[in-house]
Amino acid sequence: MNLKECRTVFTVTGLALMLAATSPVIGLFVSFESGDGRFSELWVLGPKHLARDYPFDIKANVSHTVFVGVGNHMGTSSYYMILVKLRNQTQSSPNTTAYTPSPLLPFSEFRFFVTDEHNFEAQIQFSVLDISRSGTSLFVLRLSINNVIHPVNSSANWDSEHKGYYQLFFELWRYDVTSRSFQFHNRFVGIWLNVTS
Amino acid sequence: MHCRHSRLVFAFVLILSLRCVGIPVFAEAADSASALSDAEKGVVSAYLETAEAENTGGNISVLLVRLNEAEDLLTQARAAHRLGDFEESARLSILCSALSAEVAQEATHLRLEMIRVRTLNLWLALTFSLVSMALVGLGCFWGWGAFKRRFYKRTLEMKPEAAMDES
Repeated sequence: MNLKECRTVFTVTGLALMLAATSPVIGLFVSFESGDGRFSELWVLGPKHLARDYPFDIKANVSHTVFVGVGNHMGTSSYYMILVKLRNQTQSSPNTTAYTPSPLLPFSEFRFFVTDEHNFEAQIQFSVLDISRSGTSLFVLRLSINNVIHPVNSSANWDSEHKGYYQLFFELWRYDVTSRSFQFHNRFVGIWLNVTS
Repeated sequence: MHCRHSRLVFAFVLILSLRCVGIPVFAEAADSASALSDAEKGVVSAYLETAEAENTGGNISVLLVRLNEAEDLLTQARAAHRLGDFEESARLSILCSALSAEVAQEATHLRLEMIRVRTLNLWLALTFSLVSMALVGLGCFWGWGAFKRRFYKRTLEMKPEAAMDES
C-alpha cells in the first residue's frame, strides 16, 4: 500500500467517524419509520364476547347485545367515530374499493379517543320495536339502540344470499387533523338479521 | 261585540301563554343547542391541542382518558337534548366544555414542556456532535502526521546501502 492509498483510507475513516459523531443530531430530524403498516382494526363480537353466536333471529321488543371494537395502529392517537346503520338488500353498503361510506343516514354514533396501539370496545344493545308484515315484505318502524329509540320506517324482502332481511352495520370514521373533519376510514362490519314477529 | 271581545281575550291569553311557556322553551332549546355546539367545538379543539402535544413527543394517554370522559358527557348531553331535557343537556354540555378546556390547557403545558425538553436535547446533541467532530478531525490530523512520519522512517530504513568496491 503506497502513501496515496493510505491517505484515502484515512480520509474515508475520518469522514465515517465524523458521520457517526453527528448521528445524535441527525437522529432528532430523520425518522426511519415507513408508515406503510399503519391501520385501524374494527371488529364485532357476539353477546358472549366471542366471534360467534351473533344475534340472528330477532324478535320484536327483545334486546340483543353485540360488542364493537376498534384497534388503533396508526402511529398516533386517533379520534374515531362509529356510525350505526341499518340497510336492506337493495340499499348500498360502504364501498371499500372506492373508499366511500354508505349513503344511508346513521341511527346512532359513538365517538371516542384511542391511544396508539390500544383498543376501544363499545357494548351495543339493540332491539326492533315495531314490526309489521305485508306478503313477503317486512316493515320495521322503530329501532332501539342503547335504550334510545330511533324511527326506521323501512321495508325489506328476504335476502336469500345473506339469509336475512336487514344488515345492521357499523362504519368506522376517523378525525382528520388536516381537513378538520371526520373521514370514512374504509372499514365496516355488520351482522345480518332475520327479523321475526 | 261579545264575539270580538272574546277573540281579544283569547288572543291576549294566547300571547301571554306563549310568552310564559313557549318562548322560554324555545330559548332553552336554543341555549341547549348552543351549549352543545360549543361543547363539540371544545372537544375537537382539546383533541387538536393534545395531538400537537403528542407530535412533540409528550405522553398523552392520561389526557385522552379525560377527553373520553368529556366525550361521554357530550353523548349524554346529545341524548338529553333529543329527549327535550334542555336544562340537563345544557348542564352536561357546560361540564363537557369545562373538562375540554382543562384538557386543552394541560395539553398546551405539556406541548410547551416537550418543546423545552426537545430544545435542550437539541443543544446537547449539537454540542456533543460538534465536540466529537472536532476530536475526530484533530485525531485524524495527528494520526495522519504520525503515520506519515513512521511510513517515511520505515521506507528509509528499508533503503539498500550501496557497497563501495575500490578494487
